[in-house]
Amino acid sequence: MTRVLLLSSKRRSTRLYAEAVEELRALGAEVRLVTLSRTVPSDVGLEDVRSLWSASEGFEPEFWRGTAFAAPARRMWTYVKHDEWTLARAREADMLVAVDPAAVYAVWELASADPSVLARSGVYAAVRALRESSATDAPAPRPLAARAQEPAQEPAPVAVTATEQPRSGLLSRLRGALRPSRAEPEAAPAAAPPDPAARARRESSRVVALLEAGQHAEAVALLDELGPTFKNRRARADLHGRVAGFELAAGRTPARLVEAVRAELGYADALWEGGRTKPAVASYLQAVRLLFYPGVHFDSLTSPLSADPEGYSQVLAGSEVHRRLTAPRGRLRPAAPLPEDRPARVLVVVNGNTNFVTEFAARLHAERGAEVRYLTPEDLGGAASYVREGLPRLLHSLATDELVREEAEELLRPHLDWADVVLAEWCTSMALFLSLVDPGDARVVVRLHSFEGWTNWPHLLDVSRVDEVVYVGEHLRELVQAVVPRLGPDEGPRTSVANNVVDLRRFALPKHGDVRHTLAMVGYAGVAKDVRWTMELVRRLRAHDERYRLLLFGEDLPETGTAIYREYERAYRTELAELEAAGAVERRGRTLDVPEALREVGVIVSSSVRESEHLAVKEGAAGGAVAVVRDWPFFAGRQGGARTTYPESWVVASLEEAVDRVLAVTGDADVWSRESSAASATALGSWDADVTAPHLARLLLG
Amino acid sequence: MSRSTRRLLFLAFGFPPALKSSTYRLRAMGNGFAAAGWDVTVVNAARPLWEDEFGLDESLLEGVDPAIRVVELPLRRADLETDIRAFSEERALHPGRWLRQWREQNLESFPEPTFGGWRDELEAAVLALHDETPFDLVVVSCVPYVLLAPALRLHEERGVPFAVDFRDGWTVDVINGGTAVEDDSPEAAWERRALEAAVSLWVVNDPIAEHYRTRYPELAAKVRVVRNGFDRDSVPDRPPATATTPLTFGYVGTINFKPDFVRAVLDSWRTAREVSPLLRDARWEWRGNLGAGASRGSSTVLELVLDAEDDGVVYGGPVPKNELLDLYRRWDALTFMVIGGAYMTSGKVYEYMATGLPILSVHEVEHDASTLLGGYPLWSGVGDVDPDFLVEAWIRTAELAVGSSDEDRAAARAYADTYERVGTIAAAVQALTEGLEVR
Repeated sequence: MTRVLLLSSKRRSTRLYAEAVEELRALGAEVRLVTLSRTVPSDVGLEDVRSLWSASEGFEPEFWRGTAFAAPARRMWTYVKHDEWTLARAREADMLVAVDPAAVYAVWELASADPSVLARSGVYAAVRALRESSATDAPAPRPLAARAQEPAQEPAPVAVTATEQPRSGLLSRLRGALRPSRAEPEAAPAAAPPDPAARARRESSRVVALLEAGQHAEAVALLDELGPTFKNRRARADLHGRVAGFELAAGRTPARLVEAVRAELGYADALWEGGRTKPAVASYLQAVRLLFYPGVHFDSLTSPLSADPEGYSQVLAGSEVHRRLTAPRGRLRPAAPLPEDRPARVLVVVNGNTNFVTEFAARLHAERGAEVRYLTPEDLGGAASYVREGLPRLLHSLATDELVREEAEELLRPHLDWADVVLAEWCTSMALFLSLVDPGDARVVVRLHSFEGWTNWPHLLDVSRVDEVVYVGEHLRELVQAVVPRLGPDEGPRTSVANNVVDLRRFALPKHGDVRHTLAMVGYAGVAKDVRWTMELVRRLRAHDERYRLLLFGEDLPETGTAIYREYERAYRTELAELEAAGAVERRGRTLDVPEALREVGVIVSSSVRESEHLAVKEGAAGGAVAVVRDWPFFAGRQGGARTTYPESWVVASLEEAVDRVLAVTGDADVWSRESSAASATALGSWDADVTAPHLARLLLG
Repeated sequence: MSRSTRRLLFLAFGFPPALKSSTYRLRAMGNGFAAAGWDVTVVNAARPLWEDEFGLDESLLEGVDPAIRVVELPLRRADLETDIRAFSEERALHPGRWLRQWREQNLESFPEPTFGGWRDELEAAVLALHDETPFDLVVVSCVPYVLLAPALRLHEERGVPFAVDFRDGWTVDVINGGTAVEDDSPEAAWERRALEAAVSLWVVNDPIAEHYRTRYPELAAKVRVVRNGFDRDSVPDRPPATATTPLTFGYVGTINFKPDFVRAVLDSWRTAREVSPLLRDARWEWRGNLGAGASRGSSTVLELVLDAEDDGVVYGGPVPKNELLDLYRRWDALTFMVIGGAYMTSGKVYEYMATGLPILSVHEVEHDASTLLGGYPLWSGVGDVDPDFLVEAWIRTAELAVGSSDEDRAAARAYADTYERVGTIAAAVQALTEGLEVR
């Protein structure tokens, strides 16, 4: 059996892996995969699969600072050499395969430490090597760059000119890398000078040991006690960062997350003061990585940002680097009134996801006569990297030469000169890139949907170049203004609220018979949807009447993600198995025809902890499903939320209330029928595109 | 020259068993010269190079005249190397920078970034072959253009005449149109020197011929269009029957398209399947080379095609020549996808037309293939990659597959009959041979 280890630096298609694994296995190979991707392929015949993205959660602060600016090839190798699992599998492998170019260097490094392993670039090359080795029964890896040492028996293949000699010392280097990344406590020699970094390692290990022993309160107390004793800003950041990393890897929101961020921002400021801008930006990025960690906000049923937006605001406000990077530049002249002698020109700036803007843009053209153009990352040429994975480079440029502003100016100016109104759909990287440039006399409108509120993008946006921010929900405006004061009523641009533009009329179809006892969720793959809440609702309903069941439409929860996510997913799988076996839950997968699918649904459920408006509920209601909407917990203590989005009677504060509402509206066919008609009338009368499109159009064009 | 003394050196990189788009033409040319009485020696790169690139098709050798002698030179391309142990640290870490430097190094020998580094070995090998048993004529088929160097050297040092088969042409940009290089570039200088010395220049279509006649008016008489064509043994011997649903569409050829192109075509296929009952359960089979070197089996385009499996799309890998017939018998319609524009014809279009199957085109409107397909009765037209056009084209092609009569399909094949390759090559070989005799 030949052991093959595939290494990939990015997400690849499951079918591509399936084909590759099938071919390799047919040649007698046992195949494992290591990938930098968060998602991994399942059921493709792999012996094992490792997501370095997931494995990296507990890596120390230095790792993150060191990889912020690393080129893709070096970045991949840095992940690999930090991961025990990967190094162990690499040592056992007979062949290492780089699936894509950025994985080649990692394979090269691993192979240079092991003279017996075959190393190939590309899947077909691996298949070919296996075929050749099975034909000759003699797999014979070459020494590193060995071609130049072979005797030339034929005219020299001049195009193959590798001449490097094998490097010495690589094995020992790699062995060094094999050591655990979290160093054990070390006793400093008595005569050695004070070493803050060693002390940070030592003390953080004490805290981690308590956490590992389950003594959380003691661990937090010790951390609180130790923190102020660290005067060296890097050591303090390391202390907190290592503890926070451990907790994230253990599947918990760090108890002192904000303190860890503050410590890291302090170190970033120290670097900045020392004139070391690139390390300062790298440290800043490590801080905001912790502050907006997806596991903490998107994979959890609670969010420290939602609980304390003002605290989040303050921690960033205290950062000198943050202030420097986000200094407002303003505009030379205000937006001009729309021309009266020609149709308005609207430039829609998007970053890939156009799901919520195409219907509106089409109506803007058809009903208001506007000319609409799109600007996407593809239109930015090489500068597209800034809005994809290139934030470190963008921020570093802002902090130093500002060349990124010149690039943005050159690329965006023709579009800005053309446009009367610019609509930045989603407050993410494209909106930031747009705000690097003075918009001239174009009016700039940024639309913020939901998830952006839990990211750094609104904090980085130069709001002095934004005329209006349109929020999809009132509660989003309330929260975002609390966490980003520059967007607030005192100093920020004009704001408004506008729901998404969706044609709900196509959902108004007759039901298939008596559907009262069929509940549904459309889209449940994120923890924010909290499908477990709805599953518990169905379990309780079935205690009253076993006819109740739940249909789940859309992609299932993925099998990989942050450690916090995996905790949720594990519980989901356990509960799902039981409920599916009982016939209480049925997963229908993705469906292209949602209106048709909803014809067998009597109750549409929103169990989310966070939503902007939850379109699936509006679509379900338009189709005559009675809605049950959980009072979205991320906003429950605020003025806005589910209750300001939906009729009060649709919203429930607890599972108990949800059970009561479902029983009340479905117990009797006539009652359900009346409720169904009312839901449909409300949805079509309030949220259909015929209502929402003119409103949003007025915000843009007056 | 008597028949027994006519010895031809044919510089034909990509000759069988290489699996390349040019292979069929090269094989037909070798056979054509052999049939005309020439003692043919083919110089090709050795198999490992083709294995590194698009692979081998041993079945192609079955159709090679056994009298042809093939000399394989052990040349390789470092850019296609997949053994990471052969990489320097610099290459592993900065592949783009390494590639630039490697190409610059090749340009020092000859102005062709990928192949220029072969020049010295090629010249030495060709001179050695000639000194062993002298040649009366050299025919050099490009690409690679570096093959011109040994042909010129043999001509200048040993006085051997040579003819050039440019297929597409060096100074013409067949992809984007216009001139590919600056007039004072090394490429332009080499081309002029070669064409001035050559006895004949063959190209594949009229637009390219016109480019050369305009560029070198004094050499216009040397320029001859030697179109590609189809090989009779590649297509079924009778017209296809009327198709029934579910339909099977087929594409065979090099898959060298950009991801955006493939996305657009697949999207149109999906939409057409949704809106047309004729296409609802239709399948679309892709066959051909997909990626070279490390990208083979790992490319983005392969991912796109594999991911379309739920939409009835299947990728079946390259097709050995001796399996083509079965494909054409199984398929109900063909998709002709090709890059380039007015200067590009592609060899595949002739074979497609010779099948008598309905053809859907995905290429620029101003394309030389459009000129040919314009007269083909079962063509659904061309509209670039315009989404609306393509959806309509899928539906029209499906209607042609199920609705065309036996007469329509027979007429389609009859239209293609004039493009059988063997006749075109034979005429060109004869003209070249006669031209030599009167010199």
